Amino acid sequence: MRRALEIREAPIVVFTFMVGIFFSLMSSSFYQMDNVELILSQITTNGIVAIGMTMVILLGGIDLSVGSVLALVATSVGLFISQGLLPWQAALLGIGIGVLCGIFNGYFIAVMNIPDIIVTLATMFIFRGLAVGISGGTWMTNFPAAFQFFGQGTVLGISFPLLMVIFFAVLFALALRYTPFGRRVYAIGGNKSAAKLAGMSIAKTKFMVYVYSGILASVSAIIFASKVGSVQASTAGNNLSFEVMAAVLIGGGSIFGGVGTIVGTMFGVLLMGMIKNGLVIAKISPFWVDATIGFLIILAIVINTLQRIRQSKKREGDLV
Amino acid sequence: MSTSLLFRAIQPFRVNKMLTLLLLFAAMLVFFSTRSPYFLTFNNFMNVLNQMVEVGLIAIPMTLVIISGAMDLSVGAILGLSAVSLGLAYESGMNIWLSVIVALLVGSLCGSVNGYLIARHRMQAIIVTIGMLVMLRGMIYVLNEGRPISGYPEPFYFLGQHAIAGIPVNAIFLIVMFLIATFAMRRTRFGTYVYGLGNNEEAVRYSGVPVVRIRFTLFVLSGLFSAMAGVFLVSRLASAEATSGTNIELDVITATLIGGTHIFGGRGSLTGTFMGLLIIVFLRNGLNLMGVSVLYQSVILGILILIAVGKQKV
Repeated sequence: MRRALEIREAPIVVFTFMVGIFFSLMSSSFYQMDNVELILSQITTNGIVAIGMTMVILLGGIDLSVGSVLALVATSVGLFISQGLLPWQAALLGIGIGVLCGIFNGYFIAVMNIPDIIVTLATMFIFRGLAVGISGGTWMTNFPAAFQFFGQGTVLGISFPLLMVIFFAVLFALALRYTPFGRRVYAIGGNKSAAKLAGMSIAKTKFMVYVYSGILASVSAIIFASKVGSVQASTAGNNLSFEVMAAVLIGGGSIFGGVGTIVGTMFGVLLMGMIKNGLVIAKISPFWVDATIGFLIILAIVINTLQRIRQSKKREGDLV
Repeated sequence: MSTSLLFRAIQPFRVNKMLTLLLLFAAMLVFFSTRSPYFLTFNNFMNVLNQMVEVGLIAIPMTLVIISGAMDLSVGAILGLSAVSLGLAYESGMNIWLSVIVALLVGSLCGSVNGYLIARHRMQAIIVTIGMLVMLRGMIYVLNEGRPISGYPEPFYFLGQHAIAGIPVNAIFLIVMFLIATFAMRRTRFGTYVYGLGNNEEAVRYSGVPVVRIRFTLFVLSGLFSAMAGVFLVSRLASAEATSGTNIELDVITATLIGGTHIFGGRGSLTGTFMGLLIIVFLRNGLNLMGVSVLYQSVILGILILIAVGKQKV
């Protein structure tokens, strides 16, 4: 029991279950299979982006541009399709654009050594402007039926987007835990100077993380475009970066870097999705959704701070 | 030899950031006035001044907060909440000026919640203010359910729509505020402490400076100025809306950074911020007059951030 409490994700997991039980008591339709599926399908776009954001935050960085990357990729995929490309070709090209966005961010952050908050603030404007520019400010709605597979199709009875979330979550959770790349991410986020002295290439790791973040945002963009069916470049993914960051922080990540896991983030995303859905199902006004999520972020950081204080007290005790 | 001579010749320009900003601003003015006959007119200038007041008012405390090594992303939401509470207070039958005071109190209260968590409990400023941003934006919708509130008495519009000797009232207010704040930063202990906080918080604390109280004051000021911006916005647009101030924090931070304030604190100035502010508002205005579509304006703004702020290394 004591060991269970030591696990960093413990508060968020317990809290997620408590919220689930609360909403189930409030409304019997909350825990029906249909609704569970609905929640899971609603969190897929945020979930995939959150995986990339977790790695960025692990490095002590911040990526404000994910929402604009999503808008840019979604609109360009729409454009490719209207040019007569096949859905899978358009999707691949879309991911290519995500890679380019990631390389752009990564180049300025890792190679030019400009603080990430500045670079991603700038690219947030740039990518959004490009997205609106290429779409001409109109809605993208001409997605063919074949394209809907990415957002609404099923494989072996499980929805394709959900499979993608699980695939990427497992992939990057394993990568962070068992590969040299993953260990470097934690090491650099935890203590940059020590990592540098140990001979790690900080620039290379940072660069790769931003490229991955771009790829994940573009995958999410394709699912988003296919699921929603109509994309407006100026509003698509407008608050995405804040929402996703909130999920990472609720899931136990620390903005200072070095702390956080993909599992925690996934629970953060799930919790936010449950609250969004539950407030509506339980017939509490939907206007309360944002207020509740903001309150949760503050609560998460209070818990985070308390944990840190407790741990540092324990460590001081060891020293004495 | 000749290269070093050249180097020495441009040395003053390299060192003096303010001069670079001024030159950039002047070049912009010249460029736009050749492009559009309407740009260099008194009316256009006053129009731009009238529109920049909200961003400008918030940029004052934002500069101080960033100099002190923190960040406040909740200003736009505080602006929106104060604007809506002004509208609600007036609707419930309160005197309009009392409603303004209610709005200012709401803003200061939000700021003090930020300050309490960040200064007293040493929580991470970015996260606390992101949390406040999302929460307050939600509160706004809870309070007024997304409908705009309009129909204020005529005297209230004096703040945002009238002019004294051709100069908009709100622009005069903004400039007075900038002068007061510049004086406070240059001539008072408070200003010195703010720079100190950004440079070496530990050293400042050991010198016996009340670090917590200063940081707290900064966030309360940030809330208060955001509320003021909210009041001026309602007066200018004659309506309080749930979306007021959305994303204004990004404009404010952009102006502050272009003005030479260092993102990690310790360096920066209010005069720089003012120049940064002028540059972004006149850039927007000039591009509009040239007929550059809004679509590409944000691309240009983004590139400007990269160029102007790219020199700041980690």
